[in-house]
Amino acid sequence: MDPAEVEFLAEKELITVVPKFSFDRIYLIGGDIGPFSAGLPIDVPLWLAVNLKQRQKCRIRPPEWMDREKLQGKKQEEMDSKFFIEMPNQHYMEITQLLLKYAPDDIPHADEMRTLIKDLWDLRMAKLRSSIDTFVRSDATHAKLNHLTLMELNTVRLFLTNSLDQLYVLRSNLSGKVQATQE
Amino acid sequence: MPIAKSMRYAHSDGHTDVCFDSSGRYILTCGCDGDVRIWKGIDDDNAISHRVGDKAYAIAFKNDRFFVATDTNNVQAYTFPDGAPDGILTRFTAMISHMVLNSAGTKLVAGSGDFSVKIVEVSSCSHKVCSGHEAPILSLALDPKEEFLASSSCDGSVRIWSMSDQKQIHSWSLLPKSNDVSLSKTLCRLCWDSTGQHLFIPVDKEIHIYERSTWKKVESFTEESVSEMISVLALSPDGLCLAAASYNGWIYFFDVKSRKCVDRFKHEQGLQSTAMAWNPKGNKELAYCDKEGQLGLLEDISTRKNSQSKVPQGVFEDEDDDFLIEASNAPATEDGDKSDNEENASLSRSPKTNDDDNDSLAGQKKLDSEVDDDDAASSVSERLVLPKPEIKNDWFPQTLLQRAFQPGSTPEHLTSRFMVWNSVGIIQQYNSDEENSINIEFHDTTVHHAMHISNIMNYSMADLSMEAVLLASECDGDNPSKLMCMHFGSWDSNKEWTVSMPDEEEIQAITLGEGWVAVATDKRNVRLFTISGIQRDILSISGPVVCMAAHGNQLVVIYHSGMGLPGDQCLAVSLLYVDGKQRSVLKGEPLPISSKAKISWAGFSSEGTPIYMDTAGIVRMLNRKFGLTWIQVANTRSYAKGKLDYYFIVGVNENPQQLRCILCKGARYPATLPHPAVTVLPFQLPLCELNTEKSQYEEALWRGKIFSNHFDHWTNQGFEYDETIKSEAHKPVQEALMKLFALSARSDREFRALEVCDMMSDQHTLQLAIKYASRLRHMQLAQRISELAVRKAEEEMEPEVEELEELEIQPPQRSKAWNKRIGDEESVDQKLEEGEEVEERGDVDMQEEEEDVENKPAGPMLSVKVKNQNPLSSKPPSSFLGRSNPFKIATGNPGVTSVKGTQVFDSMTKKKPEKTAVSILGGLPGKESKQTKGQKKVSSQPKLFETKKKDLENQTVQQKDKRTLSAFDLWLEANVDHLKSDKPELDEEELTKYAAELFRTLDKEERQEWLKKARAAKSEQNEPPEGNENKRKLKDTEIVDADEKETKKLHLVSPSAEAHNKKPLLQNTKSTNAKLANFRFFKE
Repeated sequence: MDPAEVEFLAEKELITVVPKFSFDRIYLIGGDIGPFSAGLPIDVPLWLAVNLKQRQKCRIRPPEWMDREKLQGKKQEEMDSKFFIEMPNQHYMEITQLLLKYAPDDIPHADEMRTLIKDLWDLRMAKLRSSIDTFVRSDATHAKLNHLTLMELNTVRLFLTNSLDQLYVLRSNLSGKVQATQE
Repeated sequence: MPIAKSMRYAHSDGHTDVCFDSSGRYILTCGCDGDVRIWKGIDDDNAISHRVGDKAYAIAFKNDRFFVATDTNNVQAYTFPDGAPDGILTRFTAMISHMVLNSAGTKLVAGSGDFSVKIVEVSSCSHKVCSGHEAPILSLALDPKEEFLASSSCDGSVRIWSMSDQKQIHSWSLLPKSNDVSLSKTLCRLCWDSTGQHLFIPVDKEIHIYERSTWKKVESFTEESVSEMISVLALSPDGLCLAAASYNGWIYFFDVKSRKCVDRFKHEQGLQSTAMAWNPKGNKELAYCDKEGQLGLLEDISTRKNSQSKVPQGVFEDEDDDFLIEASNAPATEDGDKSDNEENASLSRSPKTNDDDNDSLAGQKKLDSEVDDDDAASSVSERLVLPKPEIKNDWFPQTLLQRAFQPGSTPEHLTSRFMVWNSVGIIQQYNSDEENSINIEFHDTTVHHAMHISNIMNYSMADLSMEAVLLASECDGDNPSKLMCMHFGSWDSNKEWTVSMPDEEEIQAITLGEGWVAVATDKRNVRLFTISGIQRDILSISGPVVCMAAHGNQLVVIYHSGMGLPGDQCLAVSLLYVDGKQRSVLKGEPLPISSKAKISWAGFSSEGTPIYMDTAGIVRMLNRKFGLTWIQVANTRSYAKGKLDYYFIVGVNENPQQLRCILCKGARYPATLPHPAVTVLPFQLPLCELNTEKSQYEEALWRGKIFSNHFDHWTNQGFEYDETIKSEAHKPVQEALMKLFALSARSDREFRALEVCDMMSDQHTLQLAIKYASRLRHMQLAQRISELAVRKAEEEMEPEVEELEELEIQPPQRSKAWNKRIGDEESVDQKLEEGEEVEERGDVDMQEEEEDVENKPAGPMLSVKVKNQNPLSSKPPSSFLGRSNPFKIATGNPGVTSVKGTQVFDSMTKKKPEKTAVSILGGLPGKESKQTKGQKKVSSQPKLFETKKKDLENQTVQQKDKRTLSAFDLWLEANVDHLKSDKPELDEEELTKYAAELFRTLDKEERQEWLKKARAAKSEQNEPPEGNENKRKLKDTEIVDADEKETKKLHLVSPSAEAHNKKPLLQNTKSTNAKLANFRFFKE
């Protein structure tokens, strides 16, 4: 799975927009959306929000968690905690990325938001790497990590599984040799 | 008004005392820092300080010596002005709280925390003790004749002692008790008048006067505005003015003779004065100290010298003189700094002079608020003692009238504000030093692009509609008030027009309708313009305008119409139709408003119903169905989480029910940045017990009804709208009714259930109700509902017939009238067809109508009884019985008829089926056309019968008369002989029942076939209406032939079409059944 696919999944997340047009209900595979009435906030999938925003047809309202205090709190919590903490949204990274790319004018303190999310991401990635390191070193057969988001998993999945396979091969070779020598 | 020198720091926080030297040039203070300071006037920046101890509590001056009571529990004498110690006068075992000297300075009286009062001979330092108090002494006062000594104590008592033998002469218990001087709220500084004839004691908010030797209370007096306990009294050296300091920092000056407050002064920080001292030189100066160690001086206190010459003979007589004196005095005292003290001046005068100039309004208000705080009891007693002849203002305080405002705007003083936020867009005004502009933004960018204009004309009011922007400015110096309209909807190139108001006429409110503009001015005119700027009508309103709103051709004007109850505004509302048929609907009716609230928003729902909100958060809507009354539809405050959170309305929708608001945290208005978020609030009628299920359904019911009132209004106004929307909007009402019925039925409230049924408008729901009732085994209820259903059906019939007759007389009108209502055409057809049929059989009907009326109840009653007897005997009661009910009313008749054979029932059956048949005829094509449109609306009648076809074919049969023979009928006809021979013992009715059961056992294909036959037969009948008579005759003899014919016809009818017809209905039935089934589940 590449990041684009994860982003695609994230685009299903609902986000509140204030449309600048009025339109009837629209019928989509994922469900009906609307009716749109100008000036009245409505929840739409992220992809539609971005699309409308690109056409200057709406104003995006930042999600509730995209707030300086809340994110700072999360960051602090993440720093203090040994384990991963639950993120405000499964797709926080993707949503932030998309919103900041297409609607920076709708998000108050967009730059700070970017930094905060990036900090969170870096913290978690560091945590993830160190825990993988511990896992590999400890020769354990399994490990459990809670509250990892899809995007985070995705960054290590390919490499980790491959390298674990490789390790396994190496180990089995090693142990095979050992066995061989024993025999 | 005294001239107050600003307070200055004298000592550190805590009890501070003050006195003058005998020349009046120096002020001596002592305080908690243990210093005595000698000030050469209040402006002295180099006061001489003498250290006397760690703390000093009291100071007195006499004969070039000053006496200080310190924390060493001594009274120490010092020379003045050197401050050299001059011996200790006396010692106590506790802190000395107060001391006084006699006028000659030979005797000093001091009271202490050890409950004792000592009378000390200054020269010899010998002392006598007065003991008897049971708590620390608060204060002392020496009779000018030096015969008596008054003392007050924390034990709540005020006592009189004889100076000569230290005996207690009298005691009153007047004060609140406390443990210590520092804890006592009042210092109760007593005061004798200059002759020693009276003793003044501050008791709570009043000053009591006791007479010498009798020690009886002569009277008490106070000032209305005294809102806190009076603590310190000080008599001026001339004995004419009594200064009284209250706990909350006010100092009042009373004329001793008239007991009138002549002046007053408020401590700038509202701090309690701990000591006051008059300048002995009699130049009307008062020095005072507060509890934070500050020293202040009041000069030029009006003590009413003029009254000296008068000898007052009583309390009441000198009233008029006081007036004069005061009138002459007031300007004199105000001369100094009139501008500064104007408010206070009016404050002190207004309760007396009942003045009517507007300047005193603010002061008056302030006064009122103070009076409000006042203890009612004390003010009452005060009035009893001192009735004032003049008319007082405070029994009917004037309410501040709300200024005109634009709905959806935020206050003008903001540098960045919303001029209007409505359902079309937002107009913002930036009014800072560097920027003065207006920004117009549309919610729907397809209406118009955003605009940014510079605000050279200082526009302060704005309105926005789909076709124009309206701006208005107030008068500005020489510039008249201006109105500017940007008609962007115009197709020519000249989109703007401006108009100036006549001189000295100022625009106060503006609004934009559809194709017109309304402007309300301070001359109480409402001027109407067309959208292109043609001046139209002018109308006058009877009070200052508050706000205006417009929608389509409607204009709402809210204005002040008089004086309201205390605190309330008295508003009136006019609702006018300014376009088309001009008329006024609400002619200045009073506008209901929450207590002491103001209007905060007024406008129309997008459907065109006037709505407004007041500052108490109550949203009210015009209820056109109930004689144009107002009904509360929401309380926005109930949704606000915080106490200071308010909702700011930006739009209202009735369908769907939406109250679009902005939540303002801790404010009444939203800020422009960050961009406020609109939220949608639900409406809620304020019914009782809203937490109960019943009330919730009732609320949903009435809310649904009220919010669908606009459809009727539309119809009245000749607007065209889609009937489906209306039926869609009506659904929740039906649903609520059904739920309410189910709830009532389940809780065995049968009468209530019947009342609910009475509210049901269509037969279908009634039939469902009957079913449900019988399923719950409320037989009596079911019976009554069926009676009701019959009655309703008849009521429905009669007006229709009349209507049609009328229509036929004037055919052209008919078409006109009906065509107005789009989407109603099917029903028209339906009714017309019906009408024709009615005519055809008119002869029979007319003849029998009278009989019919008399016998009406008999038919259904009998049939219902039949129905009710059945379930008792039948084995499977629940399902069978439930289904059988609805049809018995009509269908029992064939059986009954055969028994009785009366004409009455013939007519009944004729009449009844006629209607059902017609509706089926009319309903089917209508339904089909609707379905092609993808709409859900189905006429209720056909639905009813289709329903039965689906799950109760057997019963359906009976419902249909000869004309609309159903599958069962046909089957019965075909098999009747066979059945009769099978069960000869059964009478006809039982036979039918037996047959029905048999029919039900038939397999599906077979039944389907009969069904098709029935349809074929029916379609055949549609062409020759007389055919049914023939059919009846044929019935027994030619069944087989008929059957054959029908089977042939069967092929003509396309089965697919039939299936198509049926499908959605089946779904409907299922869903409704499921709904009812659900209720049953709830119960179990």
